[in-house]
Amino acid sequence: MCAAPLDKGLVSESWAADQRIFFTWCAACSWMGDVVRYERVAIDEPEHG
Amino acid sequence: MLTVEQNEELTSVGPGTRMGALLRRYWYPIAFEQDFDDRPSKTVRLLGEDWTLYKTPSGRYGIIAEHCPHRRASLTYGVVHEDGIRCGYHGWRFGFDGQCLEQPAESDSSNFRDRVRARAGQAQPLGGMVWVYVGPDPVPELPRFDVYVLDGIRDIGYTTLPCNWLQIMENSVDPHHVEWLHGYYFEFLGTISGFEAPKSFQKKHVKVAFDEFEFGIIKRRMLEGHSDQDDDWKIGHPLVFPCGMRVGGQWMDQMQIRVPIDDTRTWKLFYTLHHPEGGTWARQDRPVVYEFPWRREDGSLITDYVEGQDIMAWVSQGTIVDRSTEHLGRSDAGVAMLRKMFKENMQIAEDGGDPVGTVRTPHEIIELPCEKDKFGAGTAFTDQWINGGSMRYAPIREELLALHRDAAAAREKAGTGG
Repeated sequence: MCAAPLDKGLVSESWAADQRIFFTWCAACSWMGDVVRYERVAIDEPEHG
Repeated sequence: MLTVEQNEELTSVGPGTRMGALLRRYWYPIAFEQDFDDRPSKTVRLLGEDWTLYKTPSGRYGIIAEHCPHRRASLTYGVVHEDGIRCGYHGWRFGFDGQCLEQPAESDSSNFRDRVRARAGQAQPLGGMVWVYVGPDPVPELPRFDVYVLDGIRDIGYTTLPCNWLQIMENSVDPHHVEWLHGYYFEFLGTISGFEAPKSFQKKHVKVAFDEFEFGIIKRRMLEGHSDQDDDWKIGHPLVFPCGMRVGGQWMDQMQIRVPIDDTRTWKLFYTLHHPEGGTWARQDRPVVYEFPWRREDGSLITDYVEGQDIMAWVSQGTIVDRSTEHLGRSDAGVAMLRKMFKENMQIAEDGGDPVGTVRTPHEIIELPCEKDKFGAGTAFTDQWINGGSMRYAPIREELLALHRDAAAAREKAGTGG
């Protein structure tokens, strides 16, 4: 993502169960994808010593 | 869900709007050639503006802004010449490009006429319809999509719908509605009304996908019991940007056309080419054209046929869908993708580029991908679509049914099946 403002792009919100999903298109760099809102930022740590 | 401003941007098609500027980069059918059998001109409305469409004695078409630049009378009630049209009010004559050529009441030595030019577009016939382009130069080629040029029998069902064209287009990237609206609801209606609903549309969706391509978006579906080798997934069918959807099966190939008359009305056409393998037909001079009903005299909507069900959805969503109060789910990803395509191409057009689907190269035919074995229904599909869809109102319905049945029998006899 290029960090340009999304004001010329498109952000369209939808839901899947409890997830709020934002279909996102950036007009500056043409990136297109889903941005999913975190309820909690949780990270699974891989096995490590 | 969109903001109010985003919704207005996507649905406003008039002059001076972003969407209007994008839509003016394309050709639209606006009349039938038979409309000019008994008159040389008619008023048409496209993208929120009124135009005079006319045909010269030698058969050339022209389109000019309806209101004369002199005193704003309608040019539709003018005199059509071989080189343009003359206003009936004071005789001002305009060429195909809108340039004023003559002002009878003004002095010949005056150069007043050189400073007067009406807005004008380009008009051409294709497939029995008159197509117009009212956008900027350079004028693109009129795309000769397959259904408009291949040999066969054509029928065109049409109506005017009291809703914005975009909500109709969004239906075309919404595969799931088929099993519900045309499957579950149709079956329910049949049960309570005492008729048997067609089974072709009742299969459940397992997976859907959307791919952008040079003319729009290809929609694919995998139905229960099917694989990625079935036509619905392997081939799919396209939304033809910005106002069409190409569908078909069993050599019935259709372009569903949604012409934006203005923000609140759409001219809806079901243009169908019938050309079954093994079939024989006499050459057809021009398509059979008919208006089909979607509302009863008491105002209730007719929903016992496929297109009537779609129209119920489009019209009952509201004149212009309020997308600021919708709740999209994951299954609406195609709808979001289409909105993105419109915004993207608005920007491309504003930056001086050609939006998706612009054709610059002269050509004979553009073939579009489309399923042959639709929904895995085989030859039963033709009867179900003709009798269960808007073609049931076609004056040649019985001839169409016979054409497809005879062709299927001929293929069976020849061992080619299908």
